[in-house]
Amino acid sequence: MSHPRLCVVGLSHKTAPLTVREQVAFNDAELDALLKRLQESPGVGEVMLVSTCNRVELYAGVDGADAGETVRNVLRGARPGVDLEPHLYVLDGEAALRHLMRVASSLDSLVVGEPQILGQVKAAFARARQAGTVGPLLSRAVPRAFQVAKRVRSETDVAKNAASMASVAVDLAKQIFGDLGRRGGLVLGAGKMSELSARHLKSAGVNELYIVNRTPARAVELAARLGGVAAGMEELDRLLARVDIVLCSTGATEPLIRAERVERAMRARRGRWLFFIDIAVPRDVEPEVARLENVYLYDADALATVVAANRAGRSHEAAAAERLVDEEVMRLTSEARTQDVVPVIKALRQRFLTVAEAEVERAAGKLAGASDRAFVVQLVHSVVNKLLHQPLTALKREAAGESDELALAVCALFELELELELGSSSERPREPQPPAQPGPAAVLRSVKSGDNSGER
Amino acid sequence: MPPLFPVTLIWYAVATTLYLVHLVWGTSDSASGLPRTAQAALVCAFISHAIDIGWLCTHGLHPVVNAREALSFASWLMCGAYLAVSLRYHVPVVGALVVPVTMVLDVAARLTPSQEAPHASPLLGMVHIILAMGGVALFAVAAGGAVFYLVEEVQLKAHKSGLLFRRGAALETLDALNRRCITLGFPLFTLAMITGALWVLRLHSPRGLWTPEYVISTLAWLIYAALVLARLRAGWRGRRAALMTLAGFVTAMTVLVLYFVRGAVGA
Repeated sequence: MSHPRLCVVGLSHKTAPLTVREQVAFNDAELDALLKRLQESPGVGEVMLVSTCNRVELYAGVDGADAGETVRNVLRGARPGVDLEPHLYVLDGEAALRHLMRVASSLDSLVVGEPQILGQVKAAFARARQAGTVGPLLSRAVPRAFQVAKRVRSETDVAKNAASMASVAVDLAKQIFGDLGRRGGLVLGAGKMSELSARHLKSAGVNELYIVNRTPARAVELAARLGGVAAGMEELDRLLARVDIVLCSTGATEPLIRAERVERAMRARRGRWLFFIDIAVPRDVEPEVARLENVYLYDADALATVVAANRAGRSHEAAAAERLVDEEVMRLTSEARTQDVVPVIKALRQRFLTVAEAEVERAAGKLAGASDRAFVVQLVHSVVNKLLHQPLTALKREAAGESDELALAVCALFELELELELGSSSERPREPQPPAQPGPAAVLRSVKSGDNSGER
Repeated sequence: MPPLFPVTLIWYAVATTLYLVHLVWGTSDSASGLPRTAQAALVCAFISHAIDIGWLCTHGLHPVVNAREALSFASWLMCGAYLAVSLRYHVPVVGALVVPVTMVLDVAARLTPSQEAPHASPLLGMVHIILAMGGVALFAVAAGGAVFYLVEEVQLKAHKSGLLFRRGAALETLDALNRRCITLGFPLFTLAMITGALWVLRLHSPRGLWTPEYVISTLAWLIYAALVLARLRAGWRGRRAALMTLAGFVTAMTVLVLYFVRGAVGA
């Protein structure tokens, strides 16, 4: 039996265009169903699904060489009509752990340093826990990713310089309108992203803010929090003629704003500029809208191009943050390796104690009473612990340093009957391949059995 | 050669350099730092240039005495027009286009051989030239804004941040600058057309108003008139207004080039 390892299968803004991502976005019901289906898949012990505008990623604790492929097939099966194959990536072991930490720290985000992603990963983790799909591997790795994300935010300037998607959009709005003080804004959708975006607009000086949502109660609630005005969907045409900036972030599966609607609004506006920021996936604004005169449309990918152009200035801070991630990955990996030799330590200690206790038993007749016997047992335990302290410390140190030799030597020397999986895995090729060299566990078994074939 | 010309040239060069540096490496804060220093240098150039023009006047070389002085005067007016609109609109990127042109025109004026202008009606001619120069100076600033508007519009539509991103030149500001310059320049240009017609008629030229200069000037006036009307009545703005501004400016510049060439060769 091998140890479970972390595996990531997914696609993101780096590998898939918006047209693909908007077809893969999952709603809440689909997320729960997918989590359950994955957990029931062979070789998949635990799973978490992160689904945002810019990424859909499955983090799974897998066991066995083909488990990553299983996860991949389940993801492909969830969207049978979409060709996901060219856009999917699979990361395994340490590479998966590093990726998780980079994602949570917003180093893999469309806008490096943006704060939303940490909340989104936390929400994904909470959902997985609620669905009962979190096991010991994710329980250990994900909170560590949150810790490193906090360190990145507090110890580097990545977060200080971070321009979220919304703040980049505000910069673009200023490029069109200049001062936003006398501008009107319309926020379409009352979710978390809408609120964040609306706050950016407010802080940029937009003085008139309308919130439109399919569920009026949520619009009223958000408007009260932001000091805006809630409006119904039926008022959309009137508002399009009035406001200057429209921020869309609904969960609608079809575009809510089509070109004909904007054409009507532009006539009513007498050609005044209108700026659409559509961060919804799937998109809320029909792409044809961008062709209209004095209308500017930026969807998530369009914002990404602007962000990428401005990213160079933050490379220094990002490098510092990457170092923090590396440190944490090394620490966690080292801890995991130390965990790998725990059975060896336990077995060795048990072997010593068994021998010592057997000797005490043999000498039991010569001892005065039960209290003497208890004293001697305590004494031999103490002697065993002291004798083993240095060798076991060395064993842990060696294991943390990625070396299995000492553990193998101990097993061979003391003939410890163990089935162990030592060592670590790294980024895995897309197609499952046989290991190029026999794994340490195979080597261990070979030592025990005298077989040199290395086959599992 | 006016005494302060080298000083004027240095100030223009400093302002040009600072505006160009701002265009390439500047930040969004258009009201401080580099643009402010550039504007201060431009004010110095403007004052120095004005002193030169005044000194030339005291020596009988008033701004419309010949093509050379008219060209220098036009560049000074252009500089003044830009400084005037800068008080209302903070668009240092436009300075990166207008100020180098101003400097080049002033240098070109000093390198042009001196020729006397017709003196049939000196006062009317002077009024006509000053009005025309004032109008064209404002149109030049409007055209500078229009160029940047079109470049920036293409970049925004193509989702490219480009050179102008965060340089303090919002589309709406550039369009407002365009509207203001055209609104101020058009009446001046209209008066210049009227005084020009009167001047030409007083010269008793056999061709009357059917000179290439006057016909092309009329065409330029019609373009600007259509632009003013379209802005007022049809709500034209943005790209269309910018394109029309450029069309009008190219036409108006053609007239100036014709006058300048004729003046320079003594035709």
